[in-house]
Amino acid sequence: MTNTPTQLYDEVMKLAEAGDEAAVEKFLSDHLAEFPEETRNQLVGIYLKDAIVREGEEVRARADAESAMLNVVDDTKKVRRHIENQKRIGELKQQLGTE
Amino acid sequence: MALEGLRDDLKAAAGPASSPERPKGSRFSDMMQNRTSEDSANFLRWVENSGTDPELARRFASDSMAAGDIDKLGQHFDGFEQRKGKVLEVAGQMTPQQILRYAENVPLLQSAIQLKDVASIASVFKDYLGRVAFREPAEFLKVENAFDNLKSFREGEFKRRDEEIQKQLATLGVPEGKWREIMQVGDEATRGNALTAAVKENLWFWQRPMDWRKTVARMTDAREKADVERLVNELNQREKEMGEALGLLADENATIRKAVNQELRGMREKPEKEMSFSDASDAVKNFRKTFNVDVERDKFYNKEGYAGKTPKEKAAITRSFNDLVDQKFRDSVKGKGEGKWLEIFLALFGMKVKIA
Repeated sequence: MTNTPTQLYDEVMKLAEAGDEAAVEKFLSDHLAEFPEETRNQLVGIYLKDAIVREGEEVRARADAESAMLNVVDDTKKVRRHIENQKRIGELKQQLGTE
Repeated sequence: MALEGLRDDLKAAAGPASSPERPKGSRFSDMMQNRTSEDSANFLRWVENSGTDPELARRFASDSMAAGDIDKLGQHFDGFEQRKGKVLEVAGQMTPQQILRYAENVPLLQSAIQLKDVASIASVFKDYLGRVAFREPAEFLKVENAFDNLKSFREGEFKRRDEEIQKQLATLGVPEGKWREIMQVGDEATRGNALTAAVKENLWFWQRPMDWRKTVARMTDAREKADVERLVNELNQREKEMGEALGLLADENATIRKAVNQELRGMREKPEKEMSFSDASDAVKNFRKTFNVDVERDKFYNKEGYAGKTPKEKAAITRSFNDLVDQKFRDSVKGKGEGKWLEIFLALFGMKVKIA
């Protein structure tokens, strides 16, 4: 049975006011074909926009994390070299009898 | 990898946005003659937002233009066309593969694909984005930024970084079985520690310089001793960070991918708060208590003399009432953020407004 726009509206509002997010999502998806074309297109546009914005944020965040990791690797190499130098200096001092 | 899908479908870039072929004069004339079109509504917003002549937009909307108005509108039309070109450029980047990939996790998009082919859905998105660009420029900017990020991932700085990281991960030398086992660990801290333990033997720079403790013990210069101890502590800290970074970047396992991505997004400061469903649900409840769309529409229509108007004028009145409802709901949720749920309820209120 096809719902009228009024029935669709009333049902979504009822589910929304009950605070049931999953039920609203499911209703919109299950009854998408019954919505007037303008509303249907808006809903599709909203979900696509949400998906692209989310993915853009994730890619950006991932790039930041990747950048942080590369920095960690670079820093680690520098620290290790510094420790090795200190160790070598200590050894040379010992050999020279200055320590 | 989670990003494999993105890596694949970014290869299939959309073709260049097509530019309107009709001459400018004809396009302007078409729009002027069809005032109920979406294009006309967008143009009206463009003129309104220009702020140069508020009365001009009103006269255009009510079809009561004064002498010289056509010329003034023609001047706005150039900027409007440029903006439309930008919308086409941005929306044209959405590939069919991308839509199909998004649909894998979004049931509503799956339903949409059953109703229309993917090319039609791309066209719906183009129209929708046009509307957003003229109504909510900040939202349009978010989409533009998202595409820029994806483009950078495809060919810019992010791509270089991603390749470098992939190389780093590939050289970790952890056996595949061990890697998969670690990826099953749900807790991020535990996963990070396990990763660090598994990879440190394979990365020369994680191995502590031999006998460094003895070296420190032998040192008599307090400053040098403290310096080496500080560096070793720093190395320990880096090791922890490395584990955390690996834990976040490893996306072999679909079960943790979503959580990892959410965590990554959460690490970045959000430019603005996104309205939660819970806030939207409360807002709808409160709004409907104080604003009955049916009652308010009757009042509005009576005031505007809707019954005696032409179909064109009726459409303009309905649009004005829709704008009013839109604004009232937005005002009622000020400070609670924007996002998907706000837009969904605005679309539903818009539908309600148009129910005869």
